[in-house]
Amino acid sequence: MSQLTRFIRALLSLSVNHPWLIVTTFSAITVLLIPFIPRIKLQLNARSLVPAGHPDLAASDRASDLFAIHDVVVLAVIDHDSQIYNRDTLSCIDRISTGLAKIDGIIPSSVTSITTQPLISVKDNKIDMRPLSFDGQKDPVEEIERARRYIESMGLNDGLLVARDGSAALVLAQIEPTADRAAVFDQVKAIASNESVGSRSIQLSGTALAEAVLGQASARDLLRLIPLTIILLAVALTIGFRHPAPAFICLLEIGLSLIWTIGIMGLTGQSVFVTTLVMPVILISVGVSDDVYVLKHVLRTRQSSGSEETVNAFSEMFGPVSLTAISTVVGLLSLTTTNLAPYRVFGFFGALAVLSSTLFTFTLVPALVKIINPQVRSKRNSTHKQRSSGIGSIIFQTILAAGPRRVLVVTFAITVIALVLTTKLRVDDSWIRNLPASNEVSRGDEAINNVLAGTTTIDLMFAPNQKDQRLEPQSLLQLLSMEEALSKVSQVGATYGIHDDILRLNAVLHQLDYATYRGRLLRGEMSISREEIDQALILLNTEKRFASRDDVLYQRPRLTVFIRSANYERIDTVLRAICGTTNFSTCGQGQIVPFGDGWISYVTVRLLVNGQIMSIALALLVDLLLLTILLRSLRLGLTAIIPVAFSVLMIFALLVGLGIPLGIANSMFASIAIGIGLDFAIHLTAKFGYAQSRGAPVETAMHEAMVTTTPAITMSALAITLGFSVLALSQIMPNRQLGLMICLGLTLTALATLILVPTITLATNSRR
Amino acid sequence: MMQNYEGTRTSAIAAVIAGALALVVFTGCRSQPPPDNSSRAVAPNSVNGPARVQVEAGAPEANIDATKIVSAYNARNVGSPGWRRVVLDLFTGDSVTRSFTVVNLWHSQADMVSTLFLLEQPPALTGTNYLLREWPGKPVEMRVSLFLPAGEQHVLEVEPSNFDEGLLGSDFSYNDIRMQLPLIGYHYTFAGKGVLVNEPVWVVEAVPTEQQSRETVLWNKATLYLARNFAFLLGADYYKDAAIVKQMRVDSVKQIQGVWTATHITMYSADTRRSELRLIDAEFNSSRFDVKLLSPERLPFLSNEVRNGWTTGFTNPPH
Repeated sequence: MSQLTRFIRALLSLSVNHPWLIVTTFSAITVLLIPFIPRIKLQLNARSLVPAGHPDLAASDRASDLFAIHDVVVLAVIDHDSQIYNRDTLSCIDRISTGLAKIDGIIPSSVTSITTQPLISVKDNKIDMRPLSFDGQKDPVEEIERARRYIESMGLNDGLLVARDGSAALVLAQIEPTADRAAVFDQVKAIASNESVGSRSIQLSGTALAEAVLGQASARDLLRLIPLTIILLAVALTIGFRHPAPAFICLLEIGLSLIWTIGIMGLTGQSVFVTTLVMPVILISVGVSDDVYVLKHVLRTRQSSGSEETVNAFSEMFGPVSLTAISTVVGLLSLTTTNLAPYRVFGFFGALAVLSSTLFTFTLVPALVKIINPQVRSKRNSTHKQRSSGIGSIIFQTILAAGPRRVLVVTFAITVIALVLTTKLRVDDSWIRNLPASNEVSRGDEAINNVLAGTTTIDLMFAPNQKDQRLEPQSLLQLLSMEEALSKVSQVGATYGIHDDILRLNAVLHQLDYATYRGRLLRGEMSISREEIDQALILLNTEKRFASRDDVLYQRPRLTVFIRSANYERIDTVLRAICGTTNFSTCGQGQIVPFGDGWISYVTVRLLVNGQIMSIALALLVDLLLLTILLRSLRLGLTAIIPVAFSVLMIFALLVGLGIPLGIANSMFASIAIGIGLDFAIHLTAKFGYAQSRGAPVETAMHEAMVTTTPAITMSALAITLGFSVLALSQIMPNRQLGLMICLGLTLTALATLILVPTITLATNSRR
Repeated sequence: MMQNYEGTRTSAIAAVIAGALALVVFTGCRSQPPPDNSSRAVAPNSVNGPARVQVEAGAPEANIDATKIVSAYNARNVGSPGWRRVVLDLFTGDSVTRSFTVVNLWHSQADMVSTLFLLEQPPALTGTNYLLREWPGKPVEMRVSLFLPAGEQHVLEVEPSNFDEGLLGSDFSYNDIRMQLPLIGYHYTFAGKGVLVNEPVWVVEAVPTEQQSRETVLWNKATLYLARNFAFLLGADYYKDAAIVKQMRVDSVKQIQGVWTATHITMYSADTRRSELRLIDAEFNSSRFDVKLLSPERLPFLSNEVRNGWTTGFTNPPH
């Protein structure tokens, strides 16, 4: 008897002989850990997904700091019947701008709209830079006309602040990094609600509001889905065990291990992310698996409630359960190899939850079995066993009849098709498209993207390594050329830089309209001097409600590119266009540094793809290595791995078929499916190995393994699938997709295990 | 031993009392202006925020006419014609984000005060100049002309509705740098006496009452703190809809050639920004320049002269 086995038996004996000691100790630790749970931080901003200092975002982080870029709140005033050039609508834009500046958490000087812009004009040698105002005693009709004249002659109706057709206007503001997004959202919503009158609607969007909505939806999900998962699992397990007591034991064990995990997360100051807020729902479902196998075995094999028999029954299951726990832990830990913080937290603490659950399975569960002593009706059990064993036997006989090699050929053909399809798998994620479709921010974002320049931006900083770099005439002309080139890219809604305002002011001083002045500069018919740039900046800063005077903002050339209906592919196209229009050899790491929300989203998705490929490959490799060592056979190890790998591949192919992109949340399915799905094959191959070790021929050993493990595999797959199916009720699309993908993945893995493990075993043995 | 101890204690108490008396006398209990070339710090370090005014208890005395206090301020000796060189630093938090060197020339006549601002630094803006002309008590009280040396080279007149915007992007507006407090279109109310960092002040409230005055300021009430012992505006709080939008504090003043001048002024905005004016050098009752230069038509000529180094001739250190 190995030392480990002796230790486990000692642990089991302690648990069975002193059950109240175990229950009291575990309860006490649980009570101690509960106070730490509220210390968990909820990370809502998109940037928090990738750890600080990550090389791919280090330069863009520096640029964001330099330009003080924060999450934004976007409101659009859309007049469905007329243009915005009327007193009602312009006053409404002004009220929204003023109202936003007063909200706690919004940076007042960041509020930008057509009513905060200086409307610059020179008439009879008199310069006027007043923004639009109905406060004073100016004739409102003249004020409206002044605004319209300036907007149209200066090209401000480019879709950025005013729609090209004049039907909509944008108000945007930045929020403090530490601002309570939910509180900001409530106040912004109140402003929008007050101002939506008649044919005028106020649409909401922006990263800050999207994060707030996603956080609220995730919290609501947690409150609804956790109790629902518990109820569903309780019902399923009660039916499966024909008794409520084992179901109670399972759920209590999982609940405590979850509290321990979450308590340790709080104790160590961890953060949870909106994309992984459903972790408890996932872990409850995952935790059920081992308890089902163990309790089913214990309740079936135990002849009496005696301590020795209980210890024996539990210790018999330690081998396969520890193996499945290790495979699940490997699957989850593979997520920590990625660069995405939510994956790392989920992977590490998910693995911790599985380990603690396994510890509880051999301590708390036997103690509870001893205390509660559930008496499962053996007659029904045997009927169930008979029916289940029948299914296992039927599958086995069918494989034999069809011919294992023929089944393998068909499987290979399907695999090749799936592999080809998988190469076309799309990756994408969007904070806003993850929101519930009915939400005002989701609807608002769509409306804004339809009429204005877009809600996603990529900012570009030029020559990052040059200190004290200023906007020179040459760099200004380069920016203009880049803007011209980008205006031809259909995904680009508009571009903006401080140089545009400099040109507008100089156009006014030259008594020209913006387009003419800009065209003449680009064609070399006019020139602009360094002094003119500096003068313009000084004048622009005279209107203090307009521009921030921080040196970096008007010394460094910077371009903001607005992307309409942005997704990964559209951002990718724009980035390629940006690199193509410059004479810089590298883009992103050299002379141009992209930053802003569009860039963060792009990099995060790119890291996700690379991370996923790495983590799936790593999980499969490590599992194969472990199984080969533990089963002492490379062939058995490979046989156990193939069904789960096949299922993951099939899901990827299915995603391509359904046109669903792989995103940050739903891509976690692979690691979860590998972790849990491998359990099925481990139990089957372990049973097969055990039967073979007793001298049974291959065919007989596999038949016996199929007959004895099919009920547990079926029940476990059904129970976990049922648990995960609750995610289909989530308000957040990626969580719904994740739930359905895991359900489908586990069902496929269970089927693939019951078909492929005997097929490969029979085919490879008959070949020899 | 005991005697020695008693003696030491008595000396210490006497020294403390003497020190306290000296402090009281030195910091504001004088009824006469300090002698020539004296200086005083009237506000703490600007990074600590604007100094608070301690308003004396009791109802304001009804017989004190606020308009007379304002008129007395407007009639002060400004040492015309005169010039001074100042550095304007723009702060965000503790960082200087921009710095300008400006030469200010002025000439006061019976019915008009002209104040010229010539930019010396930074080099790209050298020659940019502003001219403020004030006609106290006249229907049009102020006009601002601006000359930009690059580009079209027109002398532009700034619309009165822009007078409260930030000069050079600072927190000082055109209105803040004028020599006189406007009399037309404003209602002044005496609001009491107070002490602003040890300096006795009159507290006067100003409210724009007419269309023209309302258009030229972004605030709708200002509380002015005018020195009681000498004619000087030591501080101002500007309000819009009961919220403070900016606060001005004279941090230190100095009497040069018999004329009181601020040597350090801070204007605080409602956020983390502030602007500071530091006096570099000055000359009062000067004959170094022709006062006829202070006219809009001469601005292009002056700009050219400044770019050729004309103002570097003003090198007198403060006395």
